[in-house]
Amino acid sequence: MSILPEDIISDILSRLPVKTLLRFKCASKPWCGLIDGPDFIKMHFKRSTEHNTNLSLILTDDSLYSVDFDTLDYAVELDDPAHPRTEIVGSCNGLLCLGNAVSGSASIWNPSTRKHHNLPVSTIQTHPGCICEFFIYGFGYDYAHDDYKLVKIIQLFDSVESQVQVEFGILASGALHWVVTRWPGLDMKIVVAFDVGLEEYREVPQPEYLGENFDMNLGVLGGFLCILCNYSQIRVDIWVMKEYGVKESWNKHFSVLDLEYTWSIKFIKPLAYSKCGDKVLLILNKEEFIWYDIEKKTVANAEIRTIPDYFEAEICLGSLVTLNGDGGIDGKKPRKKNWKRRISLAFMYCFC
Amino acid sequence: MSLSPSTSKMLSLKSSDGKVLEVEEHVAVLCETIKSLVEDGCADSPIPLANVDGATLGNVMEWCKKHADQKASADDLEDWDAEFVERDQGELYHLIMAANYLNIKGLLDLICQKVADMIKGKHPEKIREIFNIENDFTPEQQEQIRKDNSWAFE
Repeated sequence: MSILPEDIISDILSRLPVKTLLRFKCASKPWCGLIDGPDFIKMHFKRSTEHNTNLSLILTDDSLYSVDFDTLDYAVELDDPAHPRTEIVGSCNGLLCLGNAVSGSASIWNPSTRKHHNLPVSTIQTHPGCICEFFIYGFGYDYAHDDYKLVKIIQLFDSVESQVQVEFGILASGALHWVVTRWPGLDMKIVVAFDVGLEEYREVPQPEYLGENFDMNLGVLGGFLCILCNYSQIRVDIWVMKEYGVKESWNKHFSVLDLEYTWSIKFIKPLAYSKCGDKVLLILNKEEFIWYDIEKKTVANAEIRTIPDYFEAEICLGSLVTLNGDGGIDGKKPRKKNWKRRISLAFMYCFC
Repeated sequence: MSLSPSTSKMLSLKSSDGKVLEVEEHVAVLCETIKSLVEDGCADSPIPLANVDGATLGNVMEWCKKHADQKASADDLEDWDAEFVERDQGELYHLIMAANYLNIKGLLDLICQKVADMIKGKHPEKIREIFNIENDFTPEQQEQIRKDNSWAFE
């Protein structure tokens, strides 16, 4: 093939997985420069996002594993920087925020390029006499500044007013979300959002639920915030907020019935739509993957080889996004990374 | 000006090697470059296409004809496209250059995807061969890039 114009070369390369692109960096200096360039990184990210390609599942037990989303064939163990006892704090634009349960350290890692950045350990000042019970984290993308933020919330030991239920924030529509229970009786649940760009929190309206007495959890599906209502030993309703912040836009997307499985649903989490959009991949009881067929309302097992017995999973985009401030994805000139400032960011929501 | 098939008139397209092709206007205007000429009223005489040879122009118009057929279903087009791109590298190169010159987004997209599928997972040596790329790295520089991305070569 004779020499092709650079914009055509870029177009062709932007359709390839990251692993192939890393190989092609060896082809020549111009190709290496092209693949490493911020414009190409943006182009590749945009195409992958728009066409729902280059997706993988990242599984974690004590280690991390990757499964190609297109084939869902088998899990490959990853050599991650926080190993062992790695937890995934969040997944965003191809970057994973990893936490180490033992050391308390955190790092940002791109599993596609295997590049990582260790975050400095942050200390947060609390009011005198307050004892920290545990931390809750969230990892998100700041559209306003083309940057990433790790949010850390303190749950105080003597808190009598409220408690955050989910460990890691759910990222949707540029905000991180947690379920917060309030006294008396911890039976009043609200959904709190923290806008990653504006650094403001707000309450998210909830749907008119179809019944009472359910365990509530949050998820994200196709970029939309979901509320999962688990009516123990009956069913789990999956609600989707089609228009962010609009109460009337909540739509009960589908339900997974307990009867369809021999054991009860203790944990369920939607991950992604199938290529055709007619099915949803979910984790069930942290033990297996299932496909839910939206039209037929049926459940089928997604057999993936060599997965751990008990795991958590996140969906992750294969991207070339860098950690050094020159691989932004929205065309703005990114600010110089100031990790220290960002991980010190914390908010306390009616805990004291 | 109507571009519907029932009223479509014929346009003359002249390739770089002097071949003249008579094509229905509603087919030819899938090329944005030709569409602009038609809309500007500059398409009366044979339209010279200096960057496209006769054989490639024939192939391009074959694609345009199929995609201008309003009776063709999406599945039908997908199958037809899959067969259309089964060509050697030389033909694919000429089709890309023509689709780029004539500004046919759908055809350019199709061929770029075909080339991407062809080169996915290949080694750099093969890529240099396919794209006629000169290796301007020193052996040390090349080794360093391989080392930095060693897992990608596994």
